[in-house]
Amino acid sequence: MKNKLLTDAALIAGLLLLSAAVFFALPKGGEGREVCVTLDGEEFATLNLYDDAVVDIGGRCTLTVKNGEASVTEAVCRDGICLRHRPIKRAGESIVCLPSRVTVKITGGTDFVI
Amino acid sequence: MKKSGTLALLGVLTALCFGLSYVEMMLPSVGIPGIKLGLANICVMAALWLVGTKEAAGVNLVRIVLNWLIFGNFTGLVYSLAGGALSFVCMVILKKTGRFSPVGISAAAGAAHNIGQLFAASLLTDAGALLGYLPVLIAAGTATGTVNGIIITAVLKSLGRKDGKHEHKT
Repeated sequence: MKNKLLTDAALIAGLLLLSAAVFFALPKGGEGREVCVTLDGEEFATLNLYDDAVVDIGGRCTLTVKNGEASVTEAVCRDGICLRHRPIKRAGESIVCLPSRVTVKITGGTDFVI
Repeated sequence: MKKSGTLALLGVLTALCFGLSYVEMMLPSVGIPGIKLGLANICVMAALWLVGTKEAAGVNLVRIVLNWLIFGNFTGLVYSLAGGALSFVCMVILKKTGRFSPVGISAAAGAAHNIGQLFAASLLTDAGALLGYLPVLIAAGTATGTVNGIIITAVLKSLGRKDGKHEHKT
């Protein structure tokens, strides 16, 4: 039993290390330039982050770009997680609405490499 | 255990799974999609330890489909299936090695569930946008899985079986 306690601890520590490794492996974004919106996995729109705009995304969400920040201001989904997400502005930051299959991502500067 | 007893136990575990999923739905979200307690996995693990691999897979599948039929939408089903399948395979493999207790296995299952879900979500939406969630999802899955593992250890103990080594009495 004591033996298993050790292997368990090693396993849990390994998983937490993996999480930390992934965290540091992802490059942090610089200043963003554009807002990329995808709907159902396909590109829906690309907007300039510094031109204020309000865009309806396929009737599922409303995206607001204001003062160099993007946020989701209206959504028809049940949980509304995207609504509570803080506004994003740095490259690589994103807001994701899984029920509506909408992603909003900032690009420009250093982006995630994928 | 008699066949009818096994069947009854599986039924009770599936019902309990469903109840726990419902309880979880009523808890407030922490604001990051995919982070939840995963309490229903306690029942899947109970089935895995007390009955067998095939039966536990059944409980897991029925749980996911029931949840979809009653609460969810289709994309939710795809995410749940991917997460459920990956975490289940992970549990079976780790259990077979015989080196880990339910606590470690549950921790790995939690992390695997979140990785599977994120992988499915990446395929359906935009991979790059979701990648940033991976570290926090792995850490959260490990943490909630560890807590569930401690619960399942207590459950198995009170049900009269430790680590799947002894036969279930009654």
